[in-house]
Amino acid sequence: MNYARLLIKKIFNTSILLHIRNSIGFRPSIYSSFKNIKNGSSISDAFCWRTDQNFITTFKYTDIPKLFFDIKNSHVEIFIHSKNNILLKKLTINKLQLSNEIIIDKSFLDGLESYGSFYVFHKYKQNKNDNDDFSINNRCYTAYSKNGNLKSFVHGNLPAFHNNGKDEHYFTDIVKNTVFKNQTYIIQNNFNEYDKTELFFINPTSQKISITVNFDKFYLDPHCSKLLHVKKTNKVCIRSNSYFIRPIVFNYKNNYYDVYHS
Amino acid sequence: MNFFFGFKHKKFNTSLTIPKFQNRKKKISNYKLYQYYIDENKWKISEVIDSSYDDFYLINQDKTSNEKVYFLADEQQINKGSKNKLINYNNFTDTTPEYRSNLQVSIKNGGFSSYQSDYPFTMTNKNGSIMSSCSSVSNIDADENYIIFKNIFHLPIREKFNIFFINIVSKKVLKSEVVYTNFSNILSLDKELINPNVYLFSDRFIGIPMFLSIKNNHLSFEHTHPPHSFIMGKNQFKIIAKVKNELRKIIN
Repeated sequence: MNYARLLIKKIFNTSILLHIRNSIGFRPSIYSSFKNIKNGSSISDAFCWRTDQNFITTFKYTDIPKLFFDIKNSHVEIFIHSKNNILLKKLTINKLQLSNEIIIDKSFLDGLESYGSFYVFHKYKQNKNDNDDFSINNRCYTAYSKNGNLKSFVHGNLPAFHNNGKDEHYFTDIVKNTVFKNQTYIIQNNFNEYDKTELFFINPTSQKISITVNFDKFYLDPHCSKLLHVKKTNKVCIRSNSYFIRPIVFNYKNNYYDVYHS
Repeated sequence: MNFFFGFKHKKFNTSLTIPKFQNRKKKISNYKLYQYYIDENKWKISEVIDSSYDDFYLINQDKTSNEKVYFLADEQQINKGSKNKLINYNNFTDTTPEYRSNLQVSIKNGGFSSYQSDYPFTMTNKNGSIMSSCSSVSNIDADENYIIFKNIFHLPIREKFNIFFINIVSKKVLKSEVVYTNFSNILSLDKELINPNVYLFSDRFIGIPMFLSIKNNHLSFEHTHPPHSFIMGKNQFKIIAKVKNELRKIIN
């Protein structure tokens, strides 16, 4: 009996069956994969920006190559996209400080009142004596200030793109999707006390994904974003065909707001 | 297994909302909520009564403390517990993504801020150091800034250790504070320390640093990522250890 069980387990974990399991969402072995990321790469989370409803977005990031490897003269590239994944601005930032900041407001985006996503890549040359196999992962911090009030911080939590540092090709699909819409994610908070809740979704993959939030159904094209207003509820249940759909949450009560990752 | 925690301070209220369900499944568990606390150098466990509502447990301001930690288990598992060290009772909260509670800070008649928090059991068995930027999630233009440094250690000890604020460019210790194991330590963060070159470094024990800012009754509350979140590769921990050793040389 034990032998039969072991044999079934072995068959179940062969590479072809693993691929099938992960594709259909049946007892998947992985939800995301970093295995294609080469030494010297830079990985970026998908970060969200807002200039709608009097929001200003601040992004604070560290010169990670300098802090951990004493690599000087690296630079950072930031790609700012609209909610429909149209590139609005590309920034190349040289002469980095240990800690840096960019502010995304209406004037920065030529008067645009909207929202979207941005990605941050570190371009660096590894020191000659670096024997270590490593890549940089930017999961730094965004902050949202509404009506000039205190910024509310949230850290990155959704890996989206990577670049190998040698060319201008940016790879995606770190987060995996399934064929069927059978992935459930329930935000582990009670939303009953808030006057209003918004969920900021970004599709971190190259495939269109289908999302249902409680009873609201929508599609997100590749790398597009959507700000969803959620009707008053206790729980938020998200169904999709993606393994990692974790929106940024904006909660409002009276004149106050809070932002956190779900 | 994950622990959950709160903290108590006269200037603000806190509440802890712990879900009864895993984040990928709709089924509500039969587990109850228990709390650990130290009494006469032993771990005591008791069920948290009158905290259940809907699909959540709520630890509000009246029940919260800087000493207690919370977890989900059933009676059978609890009966196998130990008074001498924390036990990993079950894998119900070992989920991907992590099983989280909502830890919220608020001000009476004012604002609120929260983050999805947890303290993995694997962290409770470790000695070591943590490092964190003091400026990444602080607001220098806030009226007040605080660091809440939470340690949970597997032995029932309340031992003193130090947190240092180090300027990593000038390689100088700017300030040190005494904190305690198995405690939510609340420190006021001076504006001079909200500097891109200043890092918090703990000696001997690890924990979670959380940063709270208050201005005009608006709040911001978030934790910083551990340094290994920013590096990928087979030697990520070796790389981080090298950086921490440099900081250790500065404090010694």
